[in-house]
Amino acid sequence: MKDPIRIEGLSVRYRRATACADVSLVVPPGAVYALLGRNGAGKSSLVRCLLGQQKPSTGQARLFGENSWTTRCAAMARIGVVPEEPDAPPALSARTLSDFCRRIYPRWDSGAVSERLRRFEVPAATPFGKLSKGQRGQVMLALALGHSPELLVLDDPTLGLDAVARRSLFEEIVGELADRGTTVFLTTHDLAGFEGIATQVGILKDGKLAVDEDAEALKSRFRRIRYSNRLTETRTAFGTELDEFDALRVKVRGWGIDAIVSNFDEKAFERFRATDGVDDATAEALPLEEIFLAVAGETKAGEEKGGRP
Amino acid sequence: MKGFLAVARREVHERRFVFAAAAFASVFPFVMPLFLGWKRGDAPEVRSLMATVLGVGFVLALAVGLGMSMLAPSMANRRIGFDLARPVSSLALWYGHLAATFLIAALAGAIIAVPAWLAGLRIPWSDILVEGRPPRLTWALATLVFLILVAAAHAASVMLRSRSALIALDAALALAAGLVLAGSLSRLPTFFAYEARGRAIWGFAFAAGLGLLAAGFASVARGRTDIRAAHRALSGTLWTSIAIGLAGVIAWTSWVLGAGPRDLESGFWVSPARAGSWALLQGRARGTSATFLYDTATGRFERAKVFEWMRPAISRDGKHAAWVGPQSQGGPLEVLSMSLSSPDRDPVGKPVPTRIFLPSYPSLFALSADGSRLATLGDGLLSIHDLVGSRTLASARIDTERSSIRGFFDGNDRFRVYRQPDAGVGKAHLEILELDVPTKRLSRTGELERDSGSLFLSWDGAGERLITLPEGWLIDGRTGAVLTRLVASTSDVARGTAFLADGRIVLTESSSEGHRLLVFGPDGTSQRTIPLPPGRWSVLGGEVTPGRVVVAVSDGSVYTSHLVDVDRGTVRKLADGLSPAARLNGNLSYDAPPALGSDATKLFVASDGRLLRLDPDTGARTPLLGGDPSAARTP
Repeated sequence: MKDPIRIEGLSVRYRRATACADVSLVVPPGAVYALLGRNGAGKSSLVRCLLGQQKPSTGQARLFGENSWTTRCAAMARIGVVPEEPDAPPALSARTLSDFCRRIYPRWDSGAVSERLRRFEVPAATPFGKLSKGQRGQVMLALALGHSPELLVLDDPTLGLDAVARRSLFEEIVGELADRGTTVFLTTHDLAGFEGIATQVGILKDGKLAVDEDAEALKSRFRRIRYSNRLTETRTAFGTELDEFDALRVKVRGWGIDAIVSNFDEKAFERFRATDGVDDATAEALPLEEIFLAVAGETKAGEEKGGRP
Repeated sequence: MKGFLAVARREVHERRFVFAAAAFASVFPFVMPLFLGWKRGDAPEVRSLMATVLGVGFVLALAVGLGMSMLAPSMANRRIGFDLARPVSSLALWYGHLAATFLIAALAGAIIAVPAWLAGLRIPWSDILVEGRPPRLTWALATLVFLILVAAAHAASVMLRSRSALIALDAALALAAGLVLAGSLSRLPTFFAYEARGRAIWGFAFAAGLGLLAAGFASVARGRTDIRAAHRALSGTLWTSIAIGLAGVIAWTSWVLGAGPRDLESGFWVSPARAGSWALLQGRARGTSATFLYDTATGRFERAKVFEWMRPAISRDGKHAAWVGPQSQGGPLEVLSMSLSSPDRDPVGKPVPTRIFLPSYPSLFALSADGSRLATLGDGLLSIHDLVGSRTLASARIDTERSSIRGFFDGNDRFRVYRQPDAGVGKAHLEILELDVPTKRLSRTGELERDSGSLFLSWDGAGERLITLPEGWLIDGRTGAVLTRLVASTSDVARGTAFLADGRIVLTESSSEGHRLLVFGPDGTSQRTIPLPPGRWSVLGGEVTPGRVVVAVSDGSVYTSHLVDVDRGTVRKLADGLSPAARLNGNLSYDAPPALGSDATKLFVASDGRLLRLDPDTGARTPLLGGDPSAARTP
């Protein structure tokens, strides 16, 4: 089976500004790929190119093995999309929109769409433009799932949703994954919500894909290391001994060193802890959000320092 | 197709408020006259007018309004992503929206028109749209125009919403295209090719219209959520189409105006010069009327910028031609002259503006024998112009109201005019006037009471004697005095007559009793009657050698040319299917009779329209125009 998503050397430029630069990634069947990035990192441009809505400046995006720009129409029959901004025609109701989709999708389950809308408590006859933001997002999700897509693309789907709407969204996605093993590609700010769902993580920074790997592997190599601030005869400086762990961020605080490293290894850490003056060092796992902040908001080790040296 | 129908259906559903607006508008024709206080009798007419104006205006406003709002805004704010995220092709998106717009406008127009129609008001759709064309074609055309208007509105909306500097280039290209189009099209009217211009305009409009429709599609297909890319795609497609349209117009214009004598369609009119090798050709070439001065000896030609009914004049010595026409679209009427042989005053074969301007097209336009002077009659003013000095020498007023006028130069200093009021059938009064150029005086020199109302005068080339037809009277050219009556007046005989070089007169008669050639002495005394081969009528060609005249006899469809020796009374068949191009019995002021033995006497027109030269002695034929095209190749 061909990979649902394969992006090869994709760049998007707007005049002098570069939104994406030489991005390559693969999403295998059944994966849940979470693409993270700060505002303006190029996520939406990447998604538009992926969906064949915008032509990349260079490179290409492939959906199920076909170029998404040239074969958009055919690919969309297998894909469900929930955009960042719900973009359905505002004068049409959810029922009319479902009726429209019924005419263009070979397999459309109007009953399932109605059932989801009922579950979300979205009025089916109200014009889309008059629904709340959360309801609009729920309509978009219901429409995206109406034809049982093989690939679900979600562009920051929880943006602006309240806690209840977010929860129902997660439940639908988890349910969809459990029922059909649908491949999911999503961009999000809501790292906590997708932490348990994502199987792969990509982080866009300044248009470049800084991280692209399995979620568990990613979490296993990031750690927060803390140890007290004691100089000894053999230890004459703070923090530089962390180079072995590829420290992304090192803070020198009054009580000691607080660092986030991206190349953690248990054996190396044991050796490090045997170093004179850092024998109280501890290493703790990081949530995805912390990893994202460390990577996307990354500063060079030693740049950010607090307290006394 | 599913996508197309789904998009169209959804668009109509989304814009259903338009029908409510149309229903509201449909009430106006019934209500407004009540408020405006029109009289009871005028109300139906006013209501019909209002319903028509509202219907047409509403539909046009919809074309613009829907065109501007159907796709461009959603492309600019990326709401089009909803459709692009579905299995709907760009083709279905664009044409689905177009179809929906047309359907909405058609239904809205019907909502306004139907109540008025049911109320017995007359909606003059046919007056507005049909204009004599087949209704189906007109409605198809109206649909196309509507769709093009929608596409144009979409294009404008995309250009404005993209906020791109490209719009400056669009404006520059639009200006350049307009200038090129106007410049190219303006060449056609100077040759009076109005029909060709109409076709060029329609062709360009069609190309530009299709370009707009294709550009709209390109903006969706290649722009999608990027409005600037949409603008680039739209402009690229639109200006490419317009460039193709312009190239087509330029090619068409060049092709039409590049026509030569060999392009004349069969049946063109030929008038050889009395002397020399030039001839005047007039007919249709490449779909438009064309007038050529054509040298039968070399193939050289010049296309004259003249109306088809305003033929150039060739001097009797065959060395000069002149004509009148505007040199640019809407320009003044200027006389042009052209040397046909030796470059005595102008280069050969190149028209030269004379700086003599006429206020209107003249009804009489005649050159002197040597081509140095020109007589024009227009707006009741007879004028003699000096073409060499570019000045008007003399003018005089002549009453031209409901009169036939003929005239010719008697020498360079006198112009003689034959004026005959149109009297219909029966008696007519012929008046002879003479304008003396040195004294600038117009005087009446003679008159004649005739039996016929038609003004057909056969002349001897010098103007001393004329023969009136159909009476067959030999008259003094200056006084109108009847010198002799050559034949008895009768109405059931068709006649043609001419003067031979030595002053003798020949006259053909065709009647149910037979066909014959009568020969008279210079004083009109009968000399000989020569029976001609049977036929329904005949024409007199040139005098090939002294006393030998070409006579072509027609059986009603095809001419057979014969060489008649008037001295010996013999008739020898020259060729079947040929008639002489030059007529010895040419009507005064149209065709000067060809000089003895001139080239004109040897030019013949075949029944299939070919022009050829025939040697009467050897029978050798040289094709000139028609048939073998290489024969008419330009030098």
